[in-house]
Amino acid sequence: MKKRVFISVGVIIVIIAILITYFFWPRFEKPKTEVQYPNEVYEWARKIKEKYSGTTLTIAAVAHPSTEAFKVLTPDFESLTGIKVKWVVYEEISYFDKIMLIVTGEEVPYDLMYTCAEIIPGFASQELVIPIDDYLANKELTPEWFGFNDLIPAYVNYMKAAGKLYGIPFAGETIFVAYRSDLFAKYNKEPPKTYEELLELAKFFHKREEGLYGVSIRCAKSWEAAWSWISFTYGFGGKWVDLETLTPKFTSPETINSLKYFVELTKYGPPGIEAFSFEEAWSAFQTGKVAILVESTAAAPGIEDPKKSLVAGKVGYVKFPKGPAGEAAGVWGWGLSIPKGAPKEKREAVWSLIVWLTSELNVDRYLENGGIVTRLSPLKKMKNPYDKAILDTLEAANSPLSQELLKAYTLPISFEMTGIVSELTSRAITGELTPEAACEQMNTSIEELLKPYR
Amino acid sequence: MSLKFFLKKFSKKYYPVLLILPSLITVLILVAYPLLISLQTSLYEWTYGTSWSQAKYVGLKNYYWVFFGGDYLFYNSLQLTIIFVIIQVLGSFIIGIFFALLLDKLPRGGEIITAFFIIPMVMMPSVVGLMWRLYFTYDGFVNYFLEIFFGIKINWFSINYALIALSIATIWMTAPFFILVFYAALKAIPQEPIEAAQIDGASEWIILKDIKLPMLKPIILITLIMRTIEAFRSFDVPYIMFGGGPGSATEILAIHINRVAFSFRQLGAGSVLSLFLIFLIIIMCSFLIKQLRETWRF
Repeated sequence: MKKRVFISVGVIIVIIAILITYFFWPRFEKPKTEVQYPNEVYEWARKIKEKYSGTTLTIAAVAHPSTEAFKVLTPDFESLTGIKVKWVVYEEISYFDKIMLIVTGEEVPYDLMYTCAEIIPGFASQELVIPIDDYLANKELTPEWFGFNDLIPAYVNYMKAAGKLYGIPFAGETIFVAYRSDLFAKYNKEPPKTYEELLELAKFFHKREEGLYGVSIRCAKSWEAAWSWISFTYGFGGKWVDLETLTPKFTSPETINSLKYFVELTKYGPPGIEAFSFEEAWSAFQTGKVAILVESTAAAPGIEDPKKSLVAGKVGYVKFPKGPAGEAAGVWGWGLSIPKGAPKEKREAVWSLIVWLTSELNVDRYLENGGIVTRLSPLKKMKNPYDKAILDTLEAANSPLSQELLKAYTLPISFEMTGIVSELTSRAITGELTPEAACEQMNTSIEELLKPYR
Repeated sequence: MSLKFFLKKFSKKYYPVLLILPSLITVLILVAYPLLISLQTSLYEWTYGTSWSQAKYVGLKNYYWVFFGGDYLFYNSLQLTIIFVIIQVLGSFIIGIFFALLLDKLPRGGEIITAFFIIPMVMMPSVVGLMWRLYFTYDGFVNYFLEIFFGIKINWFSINYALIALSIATIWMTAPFFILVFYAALKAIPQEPIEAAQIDGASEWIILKDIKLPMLKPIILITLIMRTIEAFRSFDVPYIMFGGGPGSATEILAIHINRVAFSFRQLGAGSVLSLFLIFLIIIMCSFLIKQLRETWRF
């Protein structure tokens, strides 16, 4: 009897203990998210939440397909970490004029900002942005699923200055050629492999059919004309600046020839090409008005989106053609950087947002929502018709000429040099100046800028 | 002299000055101080994005650079600015007075119609710029109608037409100001001289020329002064529509100042250009103010 009571009491105690354990065991509840993530993500987020829940982070961004993709990734970050994210989106054309004014102030109202290849050297030398190497090396802040090694090295390099990393690239761009495969098949034409072929094809298709023009490329005065022209300069064997002697080389015959070629190419564009920014060049192709688009690879997802493009599924892609001197393809793009003047106490929270937005973990969602690729893994899957052309162009970006092209942007005067070159290139396109006169003026103006650095 | 008498005399003499003082101090802080800073900056070589401690005193070098050839677009910008201001102010004025006279002739409903004219005035300039940029695209709204009525399409983004397109957009935005002001002024004109002239058999044109316009002269001059200042300072719509391009087709002084100061990062030269623009506005407006004074004296 005594034994039975003892056993019954024991069983009751065990049951009560199990129940207490079940109901009162401290547990981590997974926050509600749109996507289910691996457990380590929730664990990482919990640690961030403990420290930074209730914090608001403000991002200075530009209107760009990647910004829209980031906005899709943001709600889950907010649920996981309790951090609120506020986006301030500027037009691309005026972004740097505004941001320069803001980040040079003592108190910067942005915790995070978009930067790009052209401004990183200048911003780094003026210490307007902070190096992120320490955050990257910290395994607790930067988990495995961030996948740093999956980022394409060419894109990572453009966020570097003086051996330090100043941001994480998120919208890598190279220049490539998109062409209307239906028209090329109809007229039995092959996609261009050289500059000469590109010009010939532009001529051929220009006004071949009603409302059809040869080529679309950005030519706007702000900085876009310079972007387009430099893409051809180095392939011609020309250069903007001799980096060893710091002397401008705009008057070299090769550089002048490249501008002549570029001006000639724009003659086979739609009316108004002289003021085309990226959006307009892109839109002209998407609406089926041009046969060839020479543009940034950022244009590709939009071309293949049937909701946005009339030519989706009718487009072929090839790497940027070869010039008389060889292959040269620039690598540009956007990155996320932390302004030096931003509040220091929020930096770890800011870094967690960078990790979240640019991680390998979220890359598929980012790309599905219009984000532009900077990682190797999605490109290697070859899911999109343009992936091969991007990989080929990235390979071409390793050529010596391409490397020389990219170094032009490492000059501390690259920001103002681009402004001057773009303005004069635009005047050459409109016929206000001959290519020779434009190059002569570029040489004089850039010489003035370079003098103090010799 | 008793203290009471002194205070009375003092307050009589200086009371108005005391009343003006707060406004005067505000103006000095908000206008004179930035002007003095601009003047100081104009004597320095200061790269945008660097601290003031890195700026280097260069005397009149920036002035020399702007006025004597270093700034190769300055005279072109000046010429464009003057053309743009004349087209914009005259265009808005002519349209304004024309519609105001038409509205004045309406027996009723003028007030309701004027309410519609307010729409372009209240729209944000950046929206106006974007809207007209889209209207002027080759397959846009403007060319659509040009093709229907005249069978032509114009490349408004070319060097020959960009300034015209810009002027049309700014006239659209600024003409309603003239319409509203002139319409209100016409309504306020005393009817007796007009009726007397009508009894004497004066034509509509004579009444307009010899009675209405002379009576409107002060208001015309004031609106012209205001619009001229605004036209010289135009930045938002030109910047959004063309950003000074294509080439240098729309690079008016305000855009050029922005380019020199922020794209070329020469804040000293940008200050020289800003001071020059202020000087230009003062010269142009002092001429109009002189005219206005003569009208009031008369």
